[in-house]
Amino acid sequence: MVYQETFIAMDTTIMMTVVSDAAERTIDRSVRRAARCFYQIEQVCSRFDTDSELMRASRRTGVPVRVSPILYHAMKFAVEAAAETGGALDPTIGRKMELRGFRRNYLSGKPVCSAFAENAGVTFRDLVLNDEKMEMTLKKPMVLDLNAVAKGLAVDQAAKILRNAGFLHFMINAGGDIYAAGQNERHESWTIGIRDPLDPEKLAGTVRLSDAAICTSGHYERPSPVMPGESHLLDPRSGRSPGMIVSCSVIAPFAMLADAFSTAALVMGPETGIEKLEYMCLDGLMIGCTSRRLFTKNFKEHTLWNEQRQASSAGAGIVTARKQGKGGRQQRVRRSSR
Amino acid sequence: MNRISPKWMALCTAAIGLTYAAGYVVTDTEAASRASSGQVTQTPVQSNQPDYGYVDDQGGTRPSDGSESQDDRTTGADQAQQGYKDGSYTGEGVNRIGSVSVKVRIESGKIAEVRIVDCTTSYPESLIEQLPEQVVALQSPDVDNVTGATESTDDFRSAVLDALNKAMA
Repeated sequence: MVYQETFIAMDTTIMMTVVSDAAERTIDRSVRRAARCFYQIEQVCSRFDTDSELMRASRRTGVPVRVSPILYHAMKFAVEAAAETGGALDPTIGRKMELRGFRRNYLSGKPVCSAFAENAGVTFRDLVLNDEKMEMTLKKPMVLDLNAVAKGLAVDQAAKILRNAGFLHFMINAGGDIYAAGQNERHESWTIGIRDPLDPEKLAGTVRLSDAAICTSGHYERPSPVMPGESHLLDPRSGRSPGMIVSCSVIAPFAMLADAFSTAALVMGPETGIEKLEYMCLDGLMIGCTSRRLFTKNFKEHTLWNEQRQASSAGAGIVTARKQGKGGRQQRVRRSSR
Repeated sequence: MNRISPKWMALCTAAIGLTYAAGYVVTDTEAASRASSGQVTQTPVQSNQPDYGYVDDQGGTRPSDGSESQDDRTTGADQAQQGYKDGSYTGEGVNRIGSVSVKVRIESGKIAEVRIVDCTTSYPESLIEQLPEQVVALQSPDVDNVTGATESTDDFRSAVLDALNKAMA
């Protein structure tokens, strides 16, 4: 049977789908245990809660601060990703994000303001990590930000819990950060649609995944409430939103890797971004503002990429679209009008 | 799928493997008890160096800079994360796509679960769950799920806040 449950955490919806013959109660228990990862990581890593461990650590400059293993390893990963991408991803951009208007707690609507932190000139190089003691030292006043890592990490942890509980076939979708394990109820690899960033009603195409994660970063969903034309995606080096690429999807064995590098590659831009993904042995797809598509060299082969062209029907109802490629089989797409 | 380098494999597995690591659970519990009881407990991040903020009556530290003190004092954390009574609370909300019911569980004064239990709308439930922001969605018998940039939870906020209000009472 197919079991499905939806949660809200980290300002997004988290849908867990499990394909299993186990008793519903057994599945329910494991799914809800897996869902806890999102709340635990949110409590530790939230930039929108002054009492989170991340924010408490942010307020301590110039001294080594011992942090919990979860915060330490998440930060370690973020700093390594920052070094790998020349700062295209940077866990010290918290204050910049606050000033761009991304500072409201999604539940209470109340803003956070870390006036103690510097805005300009802070980079991941001002954050020193000590593996042995699990300590972080902030060399300048800064606000840490793990928003490009935390959700992916939670997806991976939740997947691990489900797998340890004996489930082989499941999917976790945290607002588009997806981990797909095993097969769907039709005993096929999971089919994941990648939304067309230029027309959210359409898919750019589909990929087939099994035991892999896919994450998409795009700067079309969350515009800055205070800076026209800017979004939640920020090039930490220029202080601006990246322009040429509007969405980047990355497939990886871990959601945290896909999450971090989809953001980083989008910031790095088309050529450098694709190069970096290939260097990292990750498959990725970038879609530019003119609908130009850039793939890593093995993307189509590895994912059985299926480009979709749908008739753009303004009305509701059934739209029939012909799939590209071999077989040319007809596909039914159900649509609803707004 | 390609094979990623051992270095990145190690970085990921180190982070993922920690769900029930003792250190993390202790931190979580201490933070929670600190938040609910007002006691200042020794947590890893609170080493013996002075903090840059001040200690408020809840035992929580806040930024000390006064330039935007209005904001400093009304951070979301205080209302959203603290002072809830443990238990399960149901919240109802109406939004532009219909009505939504959620169940919120509070443990140690913190949100431990927010589950969507009902979506009474004019659209199929599965569709709304996937794409709260994009009601005109892509549903196809051949597509299991859709990845796109993060959607927000605007359509569910009123229901969650309704439940949290009950938890405050």
